[in-house]
Amino acid sequence: MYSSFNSQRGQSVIELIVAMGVFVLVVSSVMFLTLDAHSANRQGKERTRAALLAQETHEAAVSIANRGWRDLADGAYGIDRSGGTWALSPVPNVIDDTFVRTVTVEPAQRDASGNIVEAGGTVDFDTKKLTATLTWDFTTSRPSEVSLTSYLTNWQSLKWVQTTEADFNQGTLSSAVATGTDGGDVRLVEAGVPPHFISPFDDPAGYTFDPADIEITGSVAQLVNQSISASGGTTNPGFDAALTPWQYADWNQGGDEVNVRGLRQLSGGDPGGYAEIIIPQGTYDEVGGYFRQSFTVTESNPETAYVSFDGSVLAFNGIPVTLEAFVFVDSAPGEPVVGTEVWSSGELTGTAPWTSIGPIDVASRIAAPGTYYLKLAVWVESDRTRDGLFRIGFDDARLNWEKIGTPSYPADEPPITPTASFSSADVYAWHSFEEIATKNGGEIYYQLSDDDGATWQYWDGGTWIVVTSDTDFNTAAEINSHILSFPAGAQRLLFRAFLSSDGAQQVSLDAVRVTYDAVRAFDSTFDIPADYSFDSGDIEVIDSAAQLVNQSPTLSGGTANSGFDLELKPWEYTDWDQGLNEVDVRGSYQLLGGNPGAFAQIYIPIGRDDRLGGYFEQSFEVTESNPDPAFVQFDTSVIRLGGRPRQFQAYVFVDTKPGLPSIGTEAWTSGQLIGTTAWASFGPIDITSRIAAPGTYYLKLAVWVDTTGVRAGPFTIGFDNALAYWEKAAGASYPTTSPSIMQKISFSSADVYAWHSFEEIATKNGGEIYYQLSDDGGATWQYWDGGTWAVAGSDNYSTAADIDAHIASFLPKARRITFKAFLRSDGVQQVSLDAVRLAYLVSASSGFSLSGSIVSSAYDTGAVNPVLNYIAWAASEPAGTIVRLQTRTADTEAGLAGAAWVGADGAAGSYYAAPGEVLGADPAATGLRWLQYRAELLSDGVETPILHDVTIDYEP
Amino acid sequence: MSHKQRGFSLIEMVIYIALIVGILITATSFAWTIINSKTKALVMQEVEQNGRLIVEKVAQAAHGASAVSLPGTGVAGTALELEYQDASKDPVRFSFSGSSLTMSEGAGAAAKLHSDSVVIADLQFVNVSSTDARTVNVFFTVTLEHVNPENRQEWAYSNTFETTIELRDQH
Repeated sequence: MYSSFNSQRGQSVIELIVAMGVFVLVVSSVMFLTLDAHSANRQGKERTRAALLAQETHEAAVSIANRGWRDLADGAYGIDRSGGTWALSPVPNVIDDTFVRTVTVEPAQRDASGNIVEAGGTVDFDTKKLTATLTWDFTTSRPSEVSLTSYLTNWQSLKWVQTTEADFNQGTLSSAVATGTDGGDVRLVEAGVPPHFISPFDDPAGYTFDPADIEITGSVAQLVNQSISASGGTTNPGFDAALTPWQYADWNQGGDEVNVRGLRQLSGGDPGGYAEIIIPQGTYDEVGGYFRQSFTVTESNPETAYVSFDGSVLAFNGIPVTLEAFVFVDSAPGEPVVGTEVWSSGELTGTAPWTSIGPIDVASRIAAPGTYYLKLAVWVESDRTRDGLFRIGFDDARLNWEKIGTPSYPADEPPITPTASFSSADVYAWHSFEEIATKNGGEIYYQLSDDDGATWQYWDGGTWIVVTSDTDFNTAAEINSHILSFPAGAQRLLFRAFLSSDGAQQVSLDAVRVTYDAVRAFDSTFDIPADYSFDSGDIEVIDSAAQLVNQSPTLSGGTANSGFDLELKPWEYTDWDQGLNEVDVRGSYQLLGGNPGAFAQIYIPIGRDDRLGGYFEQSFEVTESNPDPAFVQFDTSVIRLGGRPRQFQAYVFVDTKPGLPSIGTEAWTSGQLIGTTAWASFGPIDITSRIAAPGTYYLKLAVWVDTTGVRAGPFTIGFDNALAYWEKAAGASYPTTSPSIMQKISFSSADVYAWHSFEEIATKNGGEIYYQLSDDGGATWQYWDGGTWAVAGSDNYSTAADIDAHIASFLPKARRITFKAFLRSDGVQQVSLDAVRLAYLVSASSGFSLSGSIVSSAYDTGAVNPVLNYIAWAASEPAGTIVRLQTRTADTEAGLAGAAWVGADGAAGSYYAAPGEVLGADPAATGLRWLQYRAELLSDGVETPILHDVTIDYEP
Repeated sequence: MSHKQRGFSLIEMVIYIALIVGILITATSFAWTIINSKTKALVMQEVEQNGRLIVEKVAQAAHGASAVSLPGTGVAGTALELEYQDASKDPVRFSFSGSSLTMSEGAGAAAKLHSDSVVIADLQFVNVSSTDARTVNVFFTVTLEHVNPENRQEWAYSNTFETTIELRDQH
């Protein structure tokens, strides 16, 4: 009991603890459940709300896609309906301060069978993956998310697809070509045929060869077949003149039988004479006859052997048991054996006209050489009824055989070589060696020569070496592999081809083609100033040269009042050797009748035995020594000339003194004047030597008359526009700023493979000319900095010699180059650049045009205000190539021409960066109804990009 | 021994009674809380279910419609009228009057879209179609409240539902 009492007490405390524990458990469970139910309710509410919002987002996206597929651009957005319709907004929405709504538009990919895949497929521009995500914090530590993913498809748009050759050819292609490859594409045109020589073997006169071994026929050089064919056969097929060598023989002629005869008839054959077998009427006969001719077969197994003849049943009477014609080819001359015939007529039952039989192949009958017999036979059997007469005719009967024989070609490798080397002044290096040949198991070997055949070389496996034996030669493939190292310095190449046959092989050579790298040059010759960009204050382009402008002032001087326009002064008139008894010569100023307007006139009245004249004189100062230029010019006219004076002559003098001139010192004379003349201009007459020293000079316009012993006159002579003029540069003063001149248009050729040399032709007078080069049309300039080509500052440049030494390493990036020349002078030196020659290598490698384009045909969307969704294209762009597209739109087809080409951003001149971009619209475009695309294909020349197709997606 | 037991008995009784009373009070209060929670949960369920049903009904009706005649493009309103190709359904009308939302199809009678336990506190249809009708879309928001005449806390519950529906049959 005690123990039990004690133990009861102890249990009571434990029970209490257990009971309390159970109670606490129950209470906390109930509390938890209550609270959890509460939070579950809240969570349910929030999830419901989020799901509805996600659905709303999806519906809004459908709305956006319906309004225009182009509006569903890839990215993460919110949605917004503040504009009246649903639109994507750039930032996620916050709803009720709780939910953050993000809508993500991603490109969708599809596999080859069109199923949507997460990765590894191709992007389908007509499907977008749309994810609406709602995130919120259920509690600060319990973020929640509802996400709804759907795929939207662009199902209601239309597409303009250009993919076939015909599609592309509707557009305008430039340096590009549409091809039918793989359903149609556009690619760059090839850059043309490489420099090459070809030896066509079409003219025997152009080659050296032994005609016994080689023949040139049908544009092919080939071995001559040495084998002889044999043939033979019977003769006298037509029986026209005689029966021989045919012979007639009876066949099984017995004693009681009718006498069968064989003979030649003169006419009635096919045509003319023929051979006839006549079987008279008889009974119980078994008899026949035959013509035979022997012939010899000299070759075994002749390929062809044919028998042919004409036959006719000329008479047929009664009903024989049998009547049959046969042809035999036998090795024995005697009676034939039925069953061994090569031909039989079958039973003959009546007359028959001439019929041609054959050719019958009898080659197997005469396989062995020997003597054979062609037999034309008739056999008849008759019974007790009387049958006959029978007449059987043979004509045009022959057997011919032919043995072609095994072809036999020379096996001693006969050579053939062109009579002239391939030669061109632009050869830089040999590039390839190709043959077109039919070898039939034989081979063609070659040797090369760079000295017109004086020595021949071959590739010995390591180097080109002079041949020493008959078999020192190479195949075309070996030559081709090593021709790059064959010396090209002589710029000529001759080949010798050896046609190698085992005797049975026919070896024929159609053509040999050798391509080479060429050196060609661009020349800049400074002929047209507009082709160059320079400061005309520093540089002038004249006389096909660019030179510094002399900037020192020029001094000049000369006479005044050349036109006598208002007065005579400062001209003065003076008589010339006026004597007492002579007529009075007068010099005057005339208001009208000059050239034009006023002029100066000298008048000499009519007279006899006069020797006199007059002159206008004007002084002028020369302040510089050796002025250049210095000249006189004037107009003159003989207004009146009466009678025949001994002398009447005009003169122009440039004298150092005033006063009477002296004939013989004139600067110009008219010679004897014999009639009136209209106004004529003379000069400029060079007077540099007359006014070489500074000082005062006198220009005199004079006339002299001699009427000794004759009465002549009056004389009137006019002068107008008369002047003396000199110029003198005050000394040389050239710009010392190293002014530059740049060629505006780059040298460019699709053929450029590498730059080769740079030469100048210049007169430097102690100055120098420096250069920079540009491969981008002058956007950036480069110079040789001593170790490499570097971008040049304004005072970094190189001499022509430096450029020349290193231009081979100036990369021909765009295959274009232009230069800028800096003319450096110390101020006294005139530096003049006559020409720049820039040589380049043309590679024999094939290549492509550097750029090309296609402007598509115009396309009518048919809607005034279509939604232009996107442009997509498929192109292959090997390394170094680019395909880029632009579009333009207008409200009319005609308006397209004036619209700007734009890319996705709508800016004029921009390009679409990648297929699938939203179609850009120029804000200035007149409309969107008509559209057109333009694709540019750019290449480094090595490979061409290929545009496979272009798709423009729109909703009308 | 029994004396000793009786001696404890009074204090024990007091303690027990106190304990029992405490437990009962706690239990009762829990019970009330649980009962109220259940009521609240039922109220929430009622509102949610009605709200979802309304949204589904409107969405379903709009999906099948060919055009929206009310409200006009860019306009908000409390009535939605949808055109149907199917003459027996044309038009489908949702109208909000007083505190209830009804739906009618064609010439059919208007039917209330929610139980009597809930009332519509607020409702709006917005026609967010584009003027060129490339997209025809109705935005719809509705706020439901549980009927709560005695204004008791456990009956007080409201929720707002919104969605937007692009007409599928528009073209």
